[in-house]
Amino acid sequence: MALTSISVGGKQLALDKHGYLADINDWHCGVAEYFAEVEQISLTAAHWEVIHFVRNFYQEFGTSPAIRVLVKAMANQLGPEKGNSKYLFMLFPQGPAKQATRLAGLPKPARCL
Amino acid sequence: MTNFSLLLTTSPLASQDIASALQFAKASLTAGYKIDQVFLYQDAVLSAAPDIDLPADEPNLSQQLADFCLQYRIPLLYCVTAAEKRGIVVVSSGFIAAGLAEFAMRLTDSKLVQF
Amino acid sequence: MQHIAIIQRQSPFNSSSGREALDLILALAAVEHQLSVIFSGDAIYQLLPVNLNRDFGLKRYQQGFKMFGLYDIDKLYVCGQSMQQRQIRPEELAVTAQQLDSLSLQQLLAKQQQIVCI
Repeated sequence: MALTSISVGGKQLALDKHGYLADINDWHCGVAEYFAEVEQISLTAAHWEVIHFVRNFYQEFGTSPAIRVLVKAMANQLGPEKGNSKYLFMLFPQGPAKQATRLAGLPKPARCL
Repeated sequence: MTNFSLLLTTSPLASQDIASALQFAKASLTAGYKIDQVFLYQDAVLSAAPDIDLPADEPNLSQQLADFCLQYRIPLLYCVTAAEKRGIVVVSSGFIAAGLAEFAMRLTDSKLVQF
Repeated sequence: MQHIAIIQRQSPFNSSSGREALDLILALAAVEHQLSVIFSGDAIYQLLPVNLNRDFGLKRYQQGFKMFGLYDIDKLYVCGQSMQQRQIRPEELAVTAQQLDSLSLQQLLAKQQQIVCI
């Protein structure tokens, strides 16, 4: 049975059906740290950069980025060394779009894109 | 010979689009054309619902479509995201979960006909 | 890859068509099809900034139109006749789109390999 809420910093935060944060406004850095542990990722500055990047992406476009557009947007903004799927998969081995959006407190990206 | 992709977007109850698509598909096969895919998007994914229960005197177009595609080995795909949004997770047999990306890729050598 | 026109015809207020058409557009663009996106009839209303109001009761997917650049979708059109009928001027739209008369629309459609109408 999947969890319906998590306890971070003494507060209960609701999750959606997929184990992602139900309300993006509940997010703070502690939430990313909590999910990183669940996903077995040791956070580095490079991870944080991607987490903030996808959060900004959501704020601008109103949607969680699928992998292809994430790569493109990162290449535009941060250069080709970071805007490629190899780099992103190194940081988030189970799928950058899936994992980075979860750590960033965003909805799960659509499966069909 | 042209290959066709058929796109359905309307509810099986709200229109006769499936019936039209079936007529088109049968005529195409008879004339020697190939159907690459039948893709269900928007409300057309309701065809994949497993518990459709129609009175015996109403045509079950969804079932006819599934039977037809099975008989002629035509991939009958539905958009999994559109289906999940409509509460359809378990589907009746013959319908294959797919994404819009797959629809887009299969379109490459195929002529699209929308119903 | 193919030249595909997507014709949007539905208002954003009474169906999920616009939202689902956006997903379709992005999926087609992601595999490098060359798209022309045409807003016609009530779909013009999808392009008004009113849709970005916080108290709009449906998903405010119109923000996603800004992703067109990232997907290399630069051919955006509105049907001039639909604009006139609704007394909407190009500068009122939240998205920059080229206005076409019916003859130019016909010529544009005649050049496409596929047409999807939603």
